[in-house]
Amino acid sequence: MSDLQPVARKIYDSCGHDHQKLYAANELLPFVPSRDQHELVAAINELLGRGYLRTLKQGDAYVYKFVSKDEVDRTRNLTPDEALVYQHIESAAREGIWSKTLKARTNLHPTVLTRCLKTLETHRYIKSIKSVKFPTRKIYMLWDLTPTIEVTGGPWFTDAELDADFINALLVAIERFVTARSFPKQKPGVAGMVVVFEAGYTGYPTLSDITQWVKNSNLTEVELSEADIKALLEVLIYDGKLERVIGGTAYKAIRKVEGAVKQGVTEAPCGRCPVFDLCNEDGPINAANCVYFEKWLAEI
Amino acid sequence: MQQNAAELCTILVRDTYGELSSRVVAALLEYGRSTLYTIVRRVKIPERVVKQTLVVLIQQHLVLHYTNEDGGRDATHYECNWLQIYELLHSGRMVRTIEERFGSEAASVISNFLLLGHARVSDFITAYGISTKPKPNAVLPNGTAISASEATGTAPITSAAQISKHIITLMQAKFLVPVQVHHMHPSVDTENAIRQRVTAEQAGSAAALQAKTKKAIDEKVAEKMEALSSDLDNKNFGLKRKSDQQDGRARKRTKFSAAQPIEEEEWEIDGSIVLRVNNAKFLAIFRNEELVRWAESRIGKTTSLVYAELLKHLEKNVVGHRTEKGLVDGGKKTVVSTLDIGNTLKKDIDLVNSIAAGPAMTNGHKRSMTNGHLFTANDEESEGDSDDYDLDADIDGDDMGMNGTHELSSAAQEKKEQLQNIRKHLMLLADDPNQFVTKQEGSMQYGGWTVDTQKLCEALRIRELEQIVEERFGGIATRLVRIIKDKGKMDEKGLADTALLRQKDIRAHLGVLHERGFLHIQEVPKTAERLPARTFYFFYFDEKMSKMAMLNDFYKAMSRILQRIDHERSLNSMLLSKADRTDVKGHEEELLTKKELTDLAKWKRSEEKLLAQLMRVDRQVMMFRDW
Repeated sequence: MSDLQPVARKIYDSCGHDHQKLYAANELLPFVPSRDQHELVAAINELLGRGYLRTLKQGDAYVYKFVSKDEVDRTRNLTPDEALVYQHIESAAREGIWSKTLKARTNLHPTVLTRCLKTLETHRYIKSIKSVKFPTRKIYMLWDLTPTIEVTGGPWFTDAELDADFINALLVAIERFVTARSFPKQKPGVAGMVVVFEAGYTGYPTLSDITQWVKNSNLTEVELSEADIKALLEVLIYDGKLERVIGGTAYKAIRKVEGAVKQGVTEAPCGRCPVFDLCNEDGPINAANCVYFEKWLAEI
Repeated sequence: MQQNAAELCTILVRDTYGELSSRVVAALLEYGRSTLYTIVRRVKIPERVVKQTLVVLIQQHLVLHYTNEDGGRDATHYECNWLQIYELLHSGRMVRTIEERFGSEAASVISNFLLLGHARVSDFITAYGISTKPKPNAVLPNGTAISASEATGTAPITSAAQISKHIITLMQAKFLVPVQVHHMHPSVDTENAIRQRVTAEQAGSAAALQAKTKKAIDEKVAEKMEALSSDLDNKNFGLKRKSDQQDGRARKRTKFSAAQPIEEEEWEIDGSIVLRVNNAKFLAIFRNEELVRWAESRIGKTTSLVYAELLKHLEKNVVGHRTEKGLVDGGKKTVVSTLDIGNTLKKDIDLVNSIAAGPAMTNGHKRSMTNGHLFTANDEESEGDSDDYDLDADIDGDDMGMNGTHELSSAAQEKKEQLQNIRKHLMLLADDPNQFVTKQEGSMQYGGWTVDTQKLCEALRIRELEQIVEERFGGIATRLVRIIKDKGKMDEKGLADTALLRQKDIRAHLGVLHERGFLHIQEVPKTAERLPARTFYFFYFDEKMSKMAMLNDFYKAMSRILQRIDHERSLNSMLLSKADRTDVKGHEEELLTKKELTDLAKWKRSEEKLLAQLMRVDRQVMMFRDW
């Protein structure tokens, strides 16, 4: 701060705490003790030069935005090239910027650019992230920002990879929750009898019930919206574990048949035979010399 | 007709009717419709022998024939009826079904008709017990243990009257149907003949084939074809009234239950008609059994029992016609009332304990639950039902008023409760996403019900297919197939997003599914060059194509099982011929060595296992092809 002239310092001290607010030039004038336009211009120039102020265009007019002191300190030590790269990365905000775009915008030589990025990364000013949409691209953003959902791909992704374990755990938990509410408790005395709710029963869990339960259950710290839960329920339906009831508003588990027997064709060796297409009565593979039959018949 | 099916049919004919017949059948299946001369030339067997074989095959309805009469020279063409050949596999199931329903005597009648193909009633009755000591149907390649000789052994049929009684029952239930001329002809020929006649009547000359007349002719032909099969729909077709009824003294006879007397005239068989087994009726029954099993797995045992009773009412008068789309029967039109079911349902079934009311409703005690259900929140349903309940209340009131005695009203109360409970089970069936039954709003007390079997079978097929996919390719593949079926055409990326799986994880599954014919791919190029990298690949599911691929696999698997049985038999041929000797039979324990006994037991186990498997695949074939 000490490097600033008194006027410039006064302006920065008065307004610099708000980094979001935009100021037009005449809005800064009251902070100049002499109310002198020339003095203001000199001060603005000084602030701009030192990196405390940034110009933005709003419509046709130029407006100014103050930069925090940390950031100023950060950029101060950078070489001009690095500062340029830093600025472009910063302007991309939470979306991140692709290295190729960066090169086109800055017009720097590839080796220079690489060197700049490396320095910035080692200083922990920027970081490279992976995008779900373009997994092969190198995308940079400021160190302290979190990427947007478009980049991360939503709750199902961890490090731009679909988190299968997380999804499966949720699927199992939700299935259990719905199953517990789909069938009545066994009545005492009639053991072994399969009991179901009567037709028109309305107590099956709805989407919002399930979402609420997931929220309250501490299953995950990730915020899951109803749409996310719905996607999970869809998958469970496609897995044949749940079904929609009451006009599609609620969900019910499908009873698992205990000790279910396999299908005729898949239990016999032919249904699972890897060389089924080659099997021919007169061919080298046939029913008489089939090893799978041999094994299967021995399993009695 | 697929190659694998042809192979299977040839094996079936060989196992049942011998090598000679199978060669003729193989030639007919391979080359299609042929004349006697072509068959002789192809199988290289003397004409006389071929003729004899054809007679046997025609007798069994396995071969159809048609003589083209115009054009100066008559030419008779023979065609193989391969669906009928396939029916050879069902003989075990059929005999068992009849035994369950009508007892062992009727079962032996059916098994004899199965052996004979078709037979004149008078011949059948006279021959019974004299010449055709019914052979055990072990000659038939079926796995079920029922054999006709056993059945007749325990309950020998003694009189001709008894036989004809059984035949009449079976005919009225449409298990036996009279053979008509058109049964012996390929349906294409029958249709052509009708078309020719109709065209001649309509137009007079072939020149006037306008689009309009063509349409009229088509309609008329369809109508006449329909009329051919609708003869069978008449309950007493092929029977004639007993002579003593001519003077109008109809005797009443209770047939189904004491509670529901059915006015029925006595009928006797016309001795000169020729009867055969109605395969389609059996198919309908097998289908219904499958539906009941399904209902059991979906809802529960008790509900499935109620459902079975409902289906029994439906199938009573069903003839069953096989069409392109599957079996056609009256299921959609016939309404069964809850009362009907209540009258025939076994009383010892516990209807109450398998259904639980919602938690809100359990506060009251159990009795009031049925009515309490009325006043709960599920509004639309109870509104629809309220008429029924009002009706109940009225009737109940009347009962009380007129009788006043406690015993009667409690009996009525019991009946009413039973019906309401049955109704609850039926509501469950109707409420299921598969719609096992459809409720018919009508005047019927406690409601009437219909079953849309075609739609159900569609769902059943899909379910079976998904299960096959699941067992062959695992859960992820099933998930993918279901998604594709639900959403139509999808590319890999969309699939991965919906299934919440990584693209690279699903790729292998999609490849295998495509290879085995469960999924199909449509390519949509982005550019004119049709580069693979610049092309969308959309996966889609075509039920018809998948069905064909599946059936083809089924037929092949069945052939392999039968061939394996042959192989196992030939491995043990020495032992089997020894065990088959008349002096050894029945004294195996004494005359066979220890090793031979274990081998024999092992062979029996293997055969049983293979045959059981064959029947299970057969069930799937019926599901995919016939129902």
